[in-house]
Amino acid sequence: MGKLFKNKFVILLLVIILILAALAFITTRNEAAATWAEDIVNTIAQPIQRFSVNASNSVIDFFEQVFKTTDADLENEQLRVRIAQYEIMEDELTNLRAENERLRELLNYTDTVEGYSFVTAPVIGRSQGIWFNEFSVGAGRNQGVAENMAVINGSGLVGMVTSVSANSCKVTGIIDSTSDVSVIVERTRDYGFVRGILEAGSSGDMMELYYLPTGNDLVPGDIIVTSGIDGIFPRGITVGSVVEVSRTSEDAEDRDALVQPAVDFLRLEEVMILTAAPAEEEAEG
Amino acid sequence: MYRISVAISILFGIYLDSFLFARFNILDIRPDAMMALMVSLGVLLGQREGLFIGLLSGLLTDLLYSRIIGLGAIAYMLAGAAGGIFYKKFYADNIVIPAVTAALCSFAKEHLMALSVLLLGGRFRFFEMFFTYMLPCALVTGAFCALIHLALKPVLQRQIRKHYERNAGGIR
Repeated sequence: MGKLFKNKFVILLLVIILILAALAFITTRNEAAATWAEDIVNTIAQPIQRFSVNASNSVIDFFEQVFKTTDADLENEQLRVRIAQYEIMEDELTNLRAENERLRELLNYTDTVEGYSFVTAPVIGRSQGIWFNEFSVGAGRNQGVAENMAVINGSGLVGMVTSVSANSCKVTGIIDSTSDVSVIVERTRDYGFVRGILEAGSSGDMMELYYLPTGNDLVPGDIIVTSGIDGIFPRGITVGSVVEVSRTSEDAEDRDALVQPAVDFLRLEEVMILTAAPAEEEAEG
Repeated sequence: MYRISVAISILFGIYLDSFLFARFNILDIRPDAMMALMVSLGVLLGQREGLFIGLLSGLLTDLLYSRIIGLGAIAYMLAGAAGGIFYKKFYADNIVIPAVTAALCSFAKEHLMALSVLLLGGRFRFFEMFFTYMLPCALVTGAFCALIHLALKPVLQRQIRKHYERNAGGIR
């Protein structure tokens, strides 16, 4: 043992490990601790990242297009189904228009987001593995992005900005097992929380809904939206839908339901970062 | 010249991890390309080089994609140093040694990540994750390291030999 600690290489290794462990501890507590280093690295790396992501997406799109068009029978079948769907949709359009106003009020989603100013940015990279659901987005401090801002896309809530550098930021997705989002069940108006489920395999990206009041009458298909009480996510943004009600006991720690996120995290290419609330904009104006 | 090859391979490793394997994987199981690369570089370049390349690459990936800065750096640095243990101790054609080392390092890294998730308040079923993710990922990383090593070895060994020949000539 004494010999081992006389070895300069081992001592150097231990010192570096201790320093890195301390750095890891500090950065989990204070996200801004390494901002200057992130600024430098991201500024240098971002053009390469953007180029590689855009090039790869183009190649993938090309191959997807090729494989789609080679099967003419399949395409014809899809077109026939589409025409049938359009005919049904035409009939429903009139009713939908009338319902639109009511649904807007009910969801409070479009209005909420429309009131915000936002920055659209591409996803330029993801963390390795499935332990954390984190990804880098190509907008940062120079575009008005700050920590704890909500990130959405056309389908619903994506996550929250956790770290910002000059021209990029890191976002933690709502499917991360360490993230909690305060939500409300749209139909029953019950409050609860959702967090990601850390599981590998076929279940895909799923979340669990918990802390719902006892006696709730949750059913599969119920839409879950943000409650707005956490002060981070605006009220009424779609989070996902209930796919399975699984509450088995009165224990508040138990999962109440399995929720499928509205956002397809695997194919997430662009996001919107909500940079200012309507009230803030008016105050600035 | 070999330093440029090392830099290019690191950039390629980052691309594989952060984009390609993040999008294309089977049941979430994917190789840790950077881990495989660090072990292979350690075996080819030696322990000190492996350690410093691992440290710098780990810090780079942490700064680019991770919320916790330092965790990846520890894992990749130790992988580089572990690969370096076998520097010039086995036949260069041996791919079993780097593959097994990469699999073990990946296995250790997955445990480190699991621990950090627990410390940050995340919850998961350990044994389920162990058999459905940690173990398969370690095996896939080992296999991937064998491929990486086969590709890197001829390129790097030729360049390193030239580098040392040139330096030795300059001293004379």
